[in-house]
Amino acid sequence: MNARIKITVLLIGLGILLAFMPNPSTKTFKLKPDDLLEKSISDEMYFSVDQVARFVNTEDSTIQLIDLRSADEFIECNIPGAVNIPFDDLLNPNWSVYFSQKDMRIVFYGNGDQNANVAWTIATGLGTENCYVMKGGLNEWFKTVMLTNFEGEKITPRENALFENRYKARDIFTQINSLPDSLKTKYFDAKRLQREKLDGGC
Amino acid sequence: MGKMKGLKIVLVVLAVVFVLVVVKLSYKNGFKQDAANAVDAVVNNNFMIPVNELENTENQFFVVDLNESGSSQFKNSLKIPFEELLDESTLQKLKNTENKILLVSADISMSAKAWVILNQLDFKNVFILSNEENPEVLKYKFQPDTKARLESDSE
Repeated sequence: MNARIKITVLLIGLGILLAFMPNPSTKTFKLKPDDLLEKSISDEMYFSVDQVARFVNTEDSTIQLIDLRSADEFIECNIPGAVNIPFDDLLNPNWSVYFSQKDMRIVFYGNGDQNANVAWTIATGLGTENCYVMKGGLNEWFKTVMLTNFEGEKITPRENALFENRYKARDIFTQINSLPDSLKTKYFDAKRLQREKLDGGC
Repeated sequence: MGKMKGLKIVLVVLAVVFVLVVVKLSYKNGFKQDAANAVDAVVNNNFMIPVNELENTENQFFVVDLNESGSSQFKNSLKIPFEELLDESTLQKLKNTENKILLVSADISMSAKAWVILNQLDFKNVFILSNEENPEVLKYKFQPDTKARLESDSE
């Protein structure tokens, strides 16, 4: 009888506590507003397209590009190595494997700057560390990397390195995105499986 | 005596759990909204106003110019540098206005970040001004390298 009373009291008490607990399905920002604003002001949250081109050329394994566009836009062309997380699916728990790696730098991009900056602010506010934005988005990538063309008589070593970086990234971008859709899909699946293996998945 | 002791232990455990829950719930960092609210607003385009739609409706907005320098293109705008967005005086002005709030900046990145912060602080009717009809349109068409195409596409 005593045990029953104790268990009853315990269960009723826990039930009351659970009734007043916040809804776990809601996601509110964990960062303080001032801290989020301070990070938002800093230019360190941005990578230029030249920096991203270097990441592509060197297959930097500490970088994870996140393409926020729709699946159709992604399959048409994307920056090699990117994972497609459509913006409207950003908060899906299935993508948490990409946001929970503390040793990875996550780089958001869209066609422009708007969605990438919104996604960055949301991800950072929710506590995801090491988030960045590719400044200018894919429009800037096309303008600077894909359509790059040196015009001049003499080239400095620095310019030479810059253009070499862009040309190489352009070639990789063109090769991967010129694959037939079926091979592209296999390439993306292979990249995703590689990523999951590194995380200890099956 | 033994029965009371057992009951006391149960009550102490409940009290400790209750205190921990109250402490956690009482920690408020100011953000009240669900992040999904921000995502939905962007997806449904309920947060951005193209500049060509602003004509003749400018007076409906409380315009906030986030640029640090330069004069504003809007006559009755309030200049608030981005880093002062969360100052008490700024937030009070934003709370006191009955109009919709329009965030303006030379770089849409700044407006977008400010919009998310204000949205999550539970400010309603906040919008950003865009110089383009749709800033997320890809302006280029990728041309595949046909020389790289395989003879047979293995499905």
